[in-house]
Amino acid sequence: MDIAKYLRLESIALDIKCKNKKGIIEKLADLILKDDKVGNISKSELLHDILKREELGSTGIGEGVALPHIHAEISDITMAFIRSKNKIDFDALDNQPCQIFFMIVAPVSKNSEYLKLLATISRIMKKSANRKTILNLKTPEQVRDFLGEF
Amino acid sequence: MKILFIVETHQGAIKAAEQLFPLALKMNGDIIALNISDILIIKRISQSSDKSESEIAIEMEEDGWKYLYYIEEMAKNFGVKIFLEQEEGYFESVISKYVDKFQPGLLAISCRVSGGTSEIKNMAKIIESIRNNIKCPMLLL
Repeated sequence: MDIAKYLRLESIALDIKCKNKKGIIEKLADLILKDDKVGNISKSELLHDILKREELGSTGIGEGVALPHIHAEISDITMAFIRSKNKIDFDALDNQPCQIFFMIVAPVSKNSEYLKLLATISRIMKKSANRKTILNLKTPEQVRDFLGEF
Repeated sequence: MKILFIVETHQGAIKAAEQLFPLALKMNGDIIALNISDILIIKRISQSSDKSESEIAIEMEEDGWKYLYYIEEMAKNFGVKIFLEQEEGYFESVISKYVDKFQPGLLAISCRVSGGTSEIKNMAKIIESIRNNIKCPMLLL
């Protein structure tokens, strides 16, 4: 699956400083909202849905990676990526703070593509070598190219 | 209470989730949904196909995640709290490891086998072995 096609360079932010889980979710939402595909969905609506989802269990998938994701009324799948400068507690099951964050927002009509994207990112990020690479990349272009290799 | 739910990559897992989630709500239980890429199955499939073990492992892992995320969506609709886990290893060993790690109050396994008598016997053997090695109640769905 070509993950890179879902990730615009403007939706990638590296070495962002952030205080907590809510802060990083807000920054991810800001990146998502820059995409035209998002349409009329408001930031407060998006944040409300994402935070409500987080209440039903953290989307931290372990080993310092979190993948908040929701369905929303948008025209196509959109995605954002943040690598934070500091590690942030994301209430993950393994209790490890996170530094690598993906956010995926998708229309219900693209559910199978959405599940495939979530599954591919989760599989890639479970490998320590891949996480190490992501933590060392220098530019958004490198991040997108790296994710495009899988 | 934590409920460790073993999610296999077949439709039976969805049916099992439909039965488990109302129960989890009643028990105020948090689900840890675990999919296991079983090394024995990876080897067996690889031997009977032209794909390498690593190719099979990637396919199984991704299928596992897809089922996990599908089940997560179901949990969300039920209002059940859920965490997702995926691990490669020997089926029984991974279950023992997670039981030791998270000390669940219940272990739920979807064990709807689609094959014939030998597959049912094999599943029964695995379940028996897990039952003998873990210290929490087990629910077969």
